[in-house]
Amino acid sequence: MNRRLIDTTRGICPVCRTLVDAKVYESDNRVYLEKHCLEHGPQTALISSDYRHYKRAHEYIRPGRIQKKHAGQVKKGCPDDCGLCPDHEQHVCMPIIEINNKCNLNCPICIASEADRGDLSLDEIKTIVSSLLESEGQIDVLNVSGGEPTLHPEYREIMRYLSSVTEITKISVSTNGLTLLSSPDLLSFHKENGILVSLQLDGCRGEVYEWLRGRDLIKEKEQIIDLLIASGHPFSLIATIGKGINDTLQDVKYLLDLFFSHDAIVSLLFQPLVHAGKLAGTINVTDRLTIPDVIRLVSEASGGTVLTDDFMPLPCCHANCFSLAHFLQFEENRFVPFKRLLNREQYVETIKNRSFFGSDEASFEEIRETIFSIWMDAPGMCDCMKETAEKSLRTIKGLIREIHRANAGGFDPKKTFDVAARKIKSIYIHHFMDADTFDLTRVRRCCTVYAKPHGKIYPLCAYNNLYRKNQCDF
Amino acid sequence: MKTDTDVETRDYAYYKTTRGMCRKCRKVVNARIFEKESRIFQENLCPECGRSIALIAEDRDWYFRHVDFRLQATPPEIFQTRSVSGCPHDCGLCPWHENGPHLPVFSITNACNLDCPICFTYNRQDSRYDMPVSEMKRTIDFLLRTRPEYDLINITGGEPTLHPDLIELIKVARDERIGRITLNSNGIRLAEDLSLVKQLKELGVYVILSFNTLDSATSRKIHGVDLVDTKIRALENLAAHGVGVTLLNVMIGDINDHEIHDIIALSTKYPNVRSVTIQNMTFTGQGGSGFAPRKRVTLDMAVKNIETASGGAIRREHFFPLPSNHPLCYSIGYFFKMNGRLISFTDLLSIEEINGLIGPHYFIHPDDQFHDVMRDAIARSWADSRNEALLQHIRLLLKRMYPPQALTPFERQRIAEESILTIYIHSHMDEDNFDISRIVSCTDLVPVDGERLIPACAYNLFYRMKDERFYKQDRNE
Repeated sequence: MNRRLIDTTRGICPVCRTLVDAKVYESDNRVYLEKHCLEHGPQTALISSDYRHYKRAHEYIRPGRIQKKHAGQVKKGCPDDCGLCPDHEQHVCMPIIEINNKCNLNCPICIASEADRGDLSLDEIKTIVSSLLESEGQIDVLNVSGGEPTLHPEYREIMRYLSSVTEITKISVSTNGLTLLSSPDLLSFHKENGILVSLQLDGCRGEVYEWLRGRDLIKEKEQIIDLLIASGHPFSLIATIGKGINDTLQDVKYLLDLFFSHDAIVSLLFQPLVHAGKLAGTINVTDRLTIPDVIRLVSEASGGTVLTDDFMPLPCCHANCFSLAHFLQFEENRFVPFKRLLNREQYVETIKNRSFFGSDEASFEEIRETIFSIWMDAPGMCDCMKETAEKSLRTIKGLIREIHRANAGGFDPKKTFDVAARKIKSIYIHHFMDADTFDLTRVRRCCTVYAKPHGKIYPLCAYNNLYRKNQCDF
Repeated sequence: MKTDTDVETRDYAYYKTTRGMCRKCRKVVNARIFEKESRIFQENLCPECGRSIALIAEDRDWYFRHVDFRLQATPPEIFQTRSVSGCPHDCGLCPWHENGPHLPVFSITNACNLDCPICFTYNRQDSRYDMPVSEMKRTIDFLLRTRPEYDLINITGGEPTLHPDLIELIKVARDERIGRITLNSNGIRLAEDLSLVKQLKELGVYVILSFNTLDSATSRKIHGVDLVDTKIRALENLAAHGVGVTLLNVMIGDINDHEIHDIIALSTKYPNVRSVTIQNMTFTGQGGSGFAPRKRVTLDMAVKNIETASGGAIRREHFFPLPSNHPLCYSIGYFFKMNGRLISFTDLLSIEEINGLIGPHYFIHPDDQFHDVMRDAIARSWADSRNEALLQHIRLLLKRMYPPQALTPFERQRIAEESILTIYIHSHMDEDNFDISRIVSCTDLVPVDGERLIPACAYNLFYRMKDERFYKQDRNE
């Protein structure tokens, strides 16, 4: 085997979860993480199927932000001081509050289950929010998760409270959607409170759900989507995608068609399957889906709307954790990726420390300026692109006008988001780490965190692999 | 209203995490690599003793261009130890090591006739150690069992010319499977002892002559005494007997960095100078750890210093990482020596072509591929008349290297190196810039007890101080 060392880092042993030395090497254009636990021996896992994609990470490094206050102190060194400790390299972009453990499904791939976690009380949630605001000041998106959060007995009180916090731009809720069928009035509840539903939707075939969710959910999912679309309130889709399960053109095309043909769907998030929970140790860790695979698949399934080049890493977290493509709707059912409108440097600057844009006015002005200058300076630009650029400019101008109007009584990020959400769609790919792929380099820059009642917050993959009870009791 | 400006932005951009060491407690600790003001730094994060920061590269573009490397390694076939404590405490080599031994480094004595303020290693003077001939024999046998052949081995010290059985040791080390033997020296004995120089020539030994300055005052700062005349005399003696020489320059910020072109220029005056090795100052050992000013010269700064000192005659584009080593450890430049001028290989060949020629080795092996690549380059460059003299020069060189009767690559090597100068920039690590990713890639290994191999910088930082031959335990107590 022609293997070439690229770098070294720290990983964890999947058996005892001890931090161990790790090497990153390339072989046949694929990138692997090789570890050696002094007690449990060697292990190798695939971390990227494309060396060129992987090595571009450094092009996206940008200064991180500093939290105003840190709930953790530097004592033992990363990752044992969460958190966040002052050595963490990024602030929080998206906190997740797991408000309960109860669920109406029993997914074999569940990473969130924690037997001794009960229902969080409203007071506990208020404590979490106040400590988050102490350290962050302002939060773009706060995600409510579980269990199945809609089963929490005080769900509506909690969501009403969270929506009332002015420093949080958007509340999203991760749900399998089944409660929406039994309590259809939740739809209007979400709409009234401006809550973004993130619906778990993995594909269009029953067997996909049997594999990932434990039973065929096709009928239910179709009904849920019809309800959500009918309500007209913005929502988003989250697909867990696994090799040999739903990495098919059929499933991905279904998701993309749905996404692009309904104004209400603001984003589509793919999460390549991590090997946690009951899955840990059962799957071939050297042959799995990684971010470049999903990008290729999306591009192929989109029939030309999305190109692989339209994606780029999110510089806010680590470049190998997250890729995204933002699209501007410039006329009915026609979208242009921002990356084709803006030059890369401008684009990176616009999104460098946040997972979505649309919550501040300045970013739209920047985008308008950039598109305008590219349009002016590109006599060689082909006519079709020129036309797209012109229409995009008009759309952006319209957006800026609307944003000004919405903010007539003073700037309000919530209103700005709602205006932008109608014209901007995003595809995200977020590759979490499991014990096989855990990389200290990445976790140190993580900006998606779990916020816990005792005031501490944890980078998502640090928590899932090292702190979460059940998963990490060894 | 809350805005972005409420949250403060860091004054640096985090790139990655590696393992460094704490200069106080000497434990291996997490380290962050980051970019600040277009420069690259390493910050070691010791949970007990605090932090230390070292400059890694002055130019972030240079760093990112080269640090995206894929190591062209020769994995060891045999391991001497097992991985039980974690890198770098299992040397070695343990199965975690990624690269084979290329350059074994023998410290044959702890004796020295100097006490240089820049000495980056430890040598105890109170209890003399000279490697027994039997140990050299045992170690050579061990090395050849570990790997079928070596480009070169290096004999160093202390000052190895003080070893009473030096010639016998060299004789024992000579083997047709070892391309060359290099001998480090400060030159004091070589300046006086012509019979020694003659013997070295007869044994085919190459001398690595420490050569840091042509200025007497600077020499006193570096060596404690003025050695300028001694060094020149040693070089004259070696030239007179046609002993192949590498000039070894320790580049020290604000001390001798401006002189580097004058040292390189000696290679055009003395045809026996085959290569110049520049080691940027390492702040370790009995002298180096306390040396002031502690002004770090990074690898990319060393390249820039050469460019500046040579008035642009030698440029930074002429240098590239040695493919078989970590890019922060070695850079290399190849030059044709022609009528007192140095002409970079990169004028004729792409870096990919040169890397292809070097492969996993320490230097270019003049095999058939070398011949073909050079012929192609000559054919390609023919249209460019400015290069005519150079092309003629190379054609004649190829003719001598590839005569009708077949020569071995080592024989061709000896012909080629009279017309070619190699400049190596070799960075050792100290406590502040120690980086595990460089150690696992290391090919410069110190044989210990005739049965183990320890990467040179791991040896300097972790093992030599446990080696009673070279370090007195209560030295700092």
